[in-house]
Amino acid sequence: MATGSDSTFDIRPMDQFIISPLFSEGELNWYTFTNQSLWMLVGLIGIILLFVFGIRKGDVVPGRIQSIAEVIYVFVHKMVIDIAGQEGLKYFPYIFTLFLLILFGNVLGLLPYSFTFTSHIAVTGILALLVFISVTVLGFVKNGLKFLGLFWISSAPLALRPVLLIIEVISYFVRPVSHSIRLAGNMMAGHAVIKVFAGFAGVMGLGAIAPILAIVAVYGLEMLVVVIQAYVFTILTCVYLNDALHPGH
Amino acid sequence: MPNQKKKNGELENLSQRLSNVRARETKSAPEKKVFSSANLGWRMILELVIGMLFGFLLGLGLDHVFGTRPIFLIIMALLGFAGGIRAMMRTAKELDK
Repeated sequence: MATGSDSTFDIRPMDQFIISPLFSEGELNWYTFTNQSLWMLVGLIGIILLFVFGIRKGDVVPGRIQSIAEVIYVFVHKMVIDIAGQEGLKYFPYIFTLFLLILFGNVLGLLPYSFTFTSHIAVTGILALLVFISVTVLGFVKNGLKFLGLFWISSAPLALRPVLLIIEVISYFVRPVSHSIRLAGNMMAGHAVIKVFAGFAGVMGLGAIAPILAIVAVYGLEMLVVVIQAYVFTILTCVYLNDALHPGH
Repeated sequence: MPNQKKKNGELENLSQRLSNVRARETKSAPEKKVFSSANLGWRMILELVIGMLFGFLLGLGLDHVFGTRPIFLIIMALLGFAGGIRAMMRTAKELDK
């Protein structure tokens, strides 16, 4: 650490988000196995371990692993009922899958040397777009053309309606963008902050104790943020689903 | 079987008490507090900013298509701002639901 003080001050906090192939060199193709694929796979295996092997015994009085699985399940189940009502329960599997994927992606990203795949807008954007498209299609299937009443405000004067139409459409399309940017932005910001503090520690010699303490604090905060962001993403999915099921509320 | 009957009665009593406790817990559950106001605030800011950017880019694109540089840019940027506020207000409405 002491030798680090005479080196150039060189922090690259964003390098941790680079996607690189693991077993090959050169360009990335859709089939290239990258560090991102690896950590998605680890997340998948974690989910399977928790939910397939964890509750296989099916004890009436759950053990440790089983109660973790049950708590997560009941938590999301309750959230769907609270926000989207009993009708929303039909779409519970999808929402639960989303929650688990994001939760595992976020939490695994906190391990040292790991890769946070939820920090990429490419990933969260696809998740948000899937929610957006399916919710919009669902709104049309459930309500028919009445769903368009969301954009065509019949209580406004006729001359104003085209303007309001544009405003409403814009505000409708804002949702998937903010949905995805919030998750990716939070993940990226937290990890970059930790990396910056780590860079400070590398050049400060004995004074490194201060940034190391800061890293501990930020890491604790990140533990919170990681779970809350998974929760927020899921709860917003429920809110949008509710809008599609009961428009005009 | 008086013993059996007594046991059944106890069980009923227990399940009655359990459902009472459950009802009380679900009633007082602080659902709204978990959905913290900081999160709502961030959400509203994001929606406002993204609405403006959205309108701006839309106007820029329309101008590129029609070759009328500043006109659509100005109109759509303003409409985008309004759209952002609309999205923000919708989020704010969730607060008092």
